Amino acid sequence: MLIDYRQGSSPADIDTDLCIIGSGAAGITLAREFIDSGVSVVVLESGGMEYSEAAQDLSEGISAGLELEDWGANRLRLFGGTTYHWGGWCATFTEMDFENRSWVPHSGWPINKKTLAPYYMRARKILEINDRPDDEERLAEATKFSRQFNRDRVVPQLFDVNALRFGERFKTELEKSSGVRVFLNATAMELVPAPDGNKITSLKVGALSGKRGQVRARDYVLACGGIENARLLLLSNSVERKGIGNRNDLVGRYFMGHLLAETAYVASERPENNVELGSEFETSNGFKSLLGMRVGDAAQRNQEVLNSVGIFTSQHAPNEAMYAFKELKNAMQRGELPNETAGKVGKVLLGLDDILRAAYGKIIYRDVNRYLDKVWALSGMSEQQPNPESRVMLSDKQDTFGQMKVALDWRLTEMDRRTFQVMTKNVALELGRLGIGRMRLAEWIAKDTGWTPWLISSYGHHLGTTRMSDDPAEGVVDRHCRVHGLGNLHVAGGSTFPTGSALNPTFTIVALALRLADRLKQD
Amino acid sequence: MSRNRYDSERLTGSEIHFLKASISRRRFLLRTVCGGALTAFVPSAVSASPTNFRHAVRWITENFQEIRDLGAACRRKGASEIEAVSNLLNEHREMPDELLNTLSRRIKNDFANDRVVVIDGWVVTETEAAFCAYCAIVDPFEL
Repeated sequence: MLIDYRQGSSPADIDTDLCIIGSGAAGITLAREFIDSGVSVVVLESGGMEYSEAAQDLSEGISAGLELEDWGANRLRLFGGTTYHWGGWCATFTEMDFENRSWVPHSGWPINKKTLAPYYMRARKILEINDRPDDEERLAEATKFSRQFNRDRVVPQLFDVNALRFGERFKTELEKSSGVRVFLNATAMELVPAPDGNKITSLKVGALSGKRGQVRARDYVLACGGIENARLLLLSNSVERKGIGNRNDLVGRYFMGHLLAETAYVASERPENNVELGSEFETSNGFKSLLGMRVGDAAQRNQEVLNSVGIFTSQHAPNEAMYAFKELKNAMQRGELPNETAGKVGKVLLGLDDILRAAYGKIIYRDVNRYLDKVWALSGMSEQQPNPESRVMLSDKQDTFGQMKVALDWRLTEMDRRTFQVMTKNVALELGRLGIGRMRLAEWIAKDTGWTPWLISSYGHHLGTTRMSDDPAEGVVDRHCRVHGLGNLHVAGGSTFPTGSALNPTFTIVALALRLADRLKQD
Repeated sequence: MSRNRYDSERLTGSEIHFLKASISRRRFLLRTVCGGALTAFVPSAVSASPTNFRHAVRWITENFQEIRDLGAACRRKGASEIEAVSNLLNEHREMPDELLNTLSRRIKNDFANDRVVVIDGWVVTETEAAFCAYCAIVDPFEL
């Protein structure tokens, strides 16, 4: 059942067995598991069925560290959440992703890949991706050079690709369900714990129309993303002054993105190799797949780096005029002048034809790169070293509800940078050895120029802020995703990841949500 | 010397297409061609006929200033193999097949054994770096 919380016909106060906060991949997966189960479920969604600026503005925050790319675009407040703009890349995390790696401080999950294996299989059905999990079998259908890699350097990494929009796909099913009620335009404002702090007794809810109420449930699950999960716990400070689940000052810490950046450009030795460099292919049973090159476990261990993967993408050639134009534009939007303004203006003038071609492509075809020279680029995607100083906090600015906005202090480390360098070099060695092509490193990889914020992206994956650990001193939730010290509060989503892997998180988020649903049913 | 003096029919069709398509591009793409040319063009040119090694080096040195620049950068970085490569080229100049095989083997071994250097952003093998450095110092009319 879908209900607009703003309507007079909707109750202000709601009683239910299970309250799920958020209707993205995790929230909808959880809710579907309880259809026809006899358990009454309420899903709260801050947005509506369609995108709205007013709801989206509630996600805006302040960058206190590295500038996070577009806040609004990264987290979508509407039914279906951020699945409305994900790329649909799915891959199981590796066994080593779950391990405590001696060279990666704060690494190690309390569960392993074997624990998640049955849930990954169930998640395949939900995500409507290839149900043949044998990578070696599917690899035989990928490009031939991938099978010739020296696996001490890089291993072929397969992704299944299906950008399933959860809102569209599961709307009818949830609409017809009487046991699951989805309240739209209902923003969770504060979790209220019992005086002894051992369980949650209610959740304060509000609508932008001014309506206020509460949800009383037996169990609560936070499923509103890596930033908002932490924010709601921190905002829930009427009883516990530091926020709920935060007795050890861990909520919001260890914020991680997936680092995404172009690291090199490829000169293929023969034109036909360009076909080989293409990453996408279709399997014989009709599923879309994608091939990357991941730094293998042995190489990670030997070179003491994080997990990372490289994908070849057809990009416009690196263009100094375009970069200068972007820097000028970004600085002017902040009301500042960039360093070396005159030099950048000169580059823009010298490359004015490229800028005009980019503008024409964007205006006519909404594609900046359409008329720019194309080359193959190696796009690197890496996990981020868990770092307690990289964190989500509350700022002193308020949103429309009068709730404190988030201040995000996103920090990267030297290991993060070295990981990109090692991945790029290993791929370069293999392309050269196999006679496929040569690589020219991006300047930020070739030289120690430091991090350039506009070159690097978090990929919109926000992880780690309520990390999982059996030890309350090391994590916010336990191995069952239950908040330490609270009997009836669980967390779903990437915020529970102690480390992020190099691989996209949604598949694992859905698998963990299925596991949590089983746990809640047992309880 | 104009590009027309280059004896292009000795290259394979795909290499001609690759070079022609790329020559008209902008500076970055020209550099890209040079990177590919290190192994794709040069050994093929060397192998095509006994005289092609000279054609190849002349053509590179006169038309691809980028390779000479790369070579100069290699020299500044101290390309350690330059003497070995220079000797190799001279020893095999009348035996192109052998030269091609030796060069290709050395380059492949370099990649397999992590003997690479980063020159002007390019990840090149020590053998290639030496070849570029050789192109940077050679007088094409003395070949």
